[in-house]
Amino acid sequence: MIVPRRANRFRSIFGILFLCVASQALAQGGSVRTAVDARKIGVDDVTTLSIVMEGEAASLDVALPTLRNLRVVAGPSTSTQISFINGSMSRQKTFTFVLKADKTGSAEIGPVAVQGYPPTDPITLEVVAGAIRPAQPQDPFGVDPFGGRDPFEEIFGRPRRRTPVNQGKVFVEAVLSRPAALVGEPILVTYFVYTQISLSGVEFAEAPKYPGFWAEEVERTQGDSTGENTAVQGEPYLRYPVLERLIFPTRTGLLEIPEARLRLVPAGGTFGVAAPVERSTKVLKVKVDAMPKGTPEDAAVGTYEVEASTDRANVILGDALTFRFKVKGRGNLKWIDAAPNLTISGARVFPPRTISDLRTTRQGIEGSKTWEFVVVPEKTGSYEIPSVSFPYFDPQAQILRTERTDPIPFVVTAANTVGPASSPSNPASPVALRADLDEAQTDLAPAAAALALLSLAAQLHTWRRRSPIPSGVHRDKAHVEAALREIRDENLLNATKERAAVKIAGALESVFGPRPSWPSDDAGDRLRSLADDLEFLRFAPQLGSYDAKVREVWDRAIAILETIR
Amino acid sequence: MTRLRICLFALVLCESPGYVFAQPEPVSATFRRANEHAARSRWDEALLDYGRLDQQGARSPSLYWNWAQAASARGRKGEACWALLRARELAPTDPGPRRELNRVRGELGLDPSEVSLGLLGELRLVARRFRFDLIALALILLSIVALVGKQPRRLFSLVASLCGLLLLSPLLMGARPSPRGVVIQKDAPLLDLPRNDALAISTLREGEVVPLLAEEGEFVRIQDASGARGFAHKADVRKLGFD
Repeated sequence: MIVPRRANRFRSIFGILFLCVASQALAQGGSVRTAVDARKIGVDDVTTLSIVMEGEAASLDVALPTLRNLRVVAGPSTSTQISFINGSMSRQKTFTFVLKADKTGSAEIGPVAVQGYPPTDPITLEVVAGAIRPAQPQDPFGVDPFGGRDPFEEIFGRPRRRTPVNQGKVFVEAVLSRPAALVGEPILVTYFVYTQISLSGVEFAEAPKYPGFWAEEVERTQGDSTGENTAVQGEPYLRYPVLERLIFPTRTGLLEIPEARLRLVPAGGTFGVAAPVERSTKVLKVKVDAMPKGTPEDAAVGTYEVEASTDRANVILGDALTFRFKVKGRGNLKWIDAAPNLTISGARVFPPRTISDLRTTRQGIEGSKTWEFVVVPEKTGSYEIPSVSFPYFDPQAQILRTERTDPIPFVVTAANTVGPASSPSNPASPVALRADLDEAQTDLAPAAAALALLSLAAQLHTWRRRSPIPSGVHRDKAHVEAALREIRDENLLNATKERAAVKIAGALESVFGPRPSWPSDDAGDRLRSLADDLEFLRFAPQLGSYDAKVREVWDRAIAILETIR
Repeated sequence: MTRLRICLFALVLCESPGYVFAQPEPVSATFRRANEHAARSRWDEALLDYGRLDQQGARSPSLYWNWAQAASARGRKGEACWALLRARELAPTDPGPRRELNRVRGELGLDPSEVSLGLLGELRLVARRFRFDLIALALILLSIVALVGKQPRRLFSLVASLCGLLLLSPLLMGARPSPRGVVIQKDAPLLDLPRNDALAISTLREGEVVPLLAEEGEFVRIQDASGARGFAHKADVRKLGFD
């Protein structure tokens, strides 16, 4: 009984230990998985096998799994990624092998076994003839930045481990949708890149030129840049369209489209970027013929329809009517700038406004163009907008067609004959007329201006004639009285003529100041005359009696002083 | 004998009825006929007669007032605006055209600045409305009188003259205003070139007063309220002011 109990105890302990080991293995917190980039490949294709080890497993090594109908053409290459998220570190190591099938049929990648982790599932591939997938870089890490030379070889004396490079062919090509066209007929030019390597960038070294053409870029959609597998001279390539241009010949002859240079950047390299390479397209030639005889030079090329409409059928005299002429279709409508000629007898037609709704597609410029005319009738009556024609050359039928609109009639009525809803007049408010033909307000400004000039001239004159009162002149009453008293002295008339003249001159100077300061008016003139006479009396020779003269100047001096008294 | 014949012929000519030497119809008669048309709602005929009077040189505020009434009733608000501006120019003291102009401007949805005559034009209008010319004339006459006499009052005369000149200044400065016109046509286009096949760059607002920058054939170069410059047909923009 004891033995079985011991045996049971041993089993229990073993079971507990097994669970501990197993849980420890699970607690390592890692994983191992495998992936290929294609399950179906061609014999000429390659596929990439990635063995991804995460967590604790990233510190381990892995052996190449068993391969059936496959061989390693490059690898293994290893990449390690460490990231810190929310304070915890995660680690991932990836081993990459580039595999190639030996023959068509089935191929298999065996399970990957890593110690402590469950083996991965085997991967089965289907191998078909030829190449069915885009060329893959043989080395995901790109071309050798040192051009194949080992920079450490000379220093350390040992060869560096050779790594495969991103090898393959690449070239560019420009393709025309047609080798010959008529003037104005659209031609599609597509620039393709053919590549056997992975590219990280494509750009034009310089903008492509189209001498003799008018070019429009085709509006591209999201799916237009997807590549396709193709074979050139038996070699597989991946072909990408990089640019599409719609070109319209503007002159006849054998026109050339010069080569276009594209700069291609291969993917990979030490830092993910490799040196770019440049490739050029070939020169393209287009034979351009003139349009058939009889076709107007400015005629549109394409297929079109025309429409005509007006915004109203009844117009009140004085109002405007809008006439719209619309051309829609596909071709070179963007070229057509000249508005159709529109003349309506009895109405003024204003230059039109042009409204374009056009987009460039691979087949041509599609959409519509509308010319909007404002028509103002000059009198009442019935009018008709004449038929408007639009000639164009149909390249498919190779004939000149002319589309015409139908004439549109409209009626112009006087304001008072139209209903009140559409009438611009306001019958509710009666007109307030004035019966008298009154005069305009008289403008007195010119007369006032003339008088103002006269007034200013008079001001100037009076201010110039006014008597200046210089300093030293004492015209106050006391001084004048004193001067008068001095002159009226009885002894003055009995004195000699010289003394009398000096006395009177002195009295006058005491009031009016020295002679140069006397005013240039009448009073000044009188003063000067008196001064001259006094001067004469003073220096005249004593040949006779001067009593009368003395008396006269005496009276004049008193009179002058009396005026300002 | 020949002399006698000439004399007789001259006599016959002098005595001939009016249609031999057609006398122009009196302005008052045309005005009355135009008013009659307007009173009977024959707007087009009335407008035609008012236009004829304008061409004859009739310069009466009543003419343009009635013209504006007929044009407004006819629905030609821009033309009414133009006629009212002319009436206001001829009779600045008359409140009628001013009030009517505000009404038409409101109907056209125009801002007061869009019917403005510019700074000098508006200043001149205010000066004429408040008869600055009359006041200035009185002051200047007073200044002249003050100078006459034995004792001229020079200072008073000078001050009066200067005040008169100050009042006259807006009238004198605005005497030759820059030419302006009114858009009389609804939806008239503003063209980029003075040609019939030019591109219409915008649409002018009916009733808007625009400066006339230049004339080129049948077109005038203008600038609208938004500052856009271009050409308009002369039939769409009628000139303000009198020659």
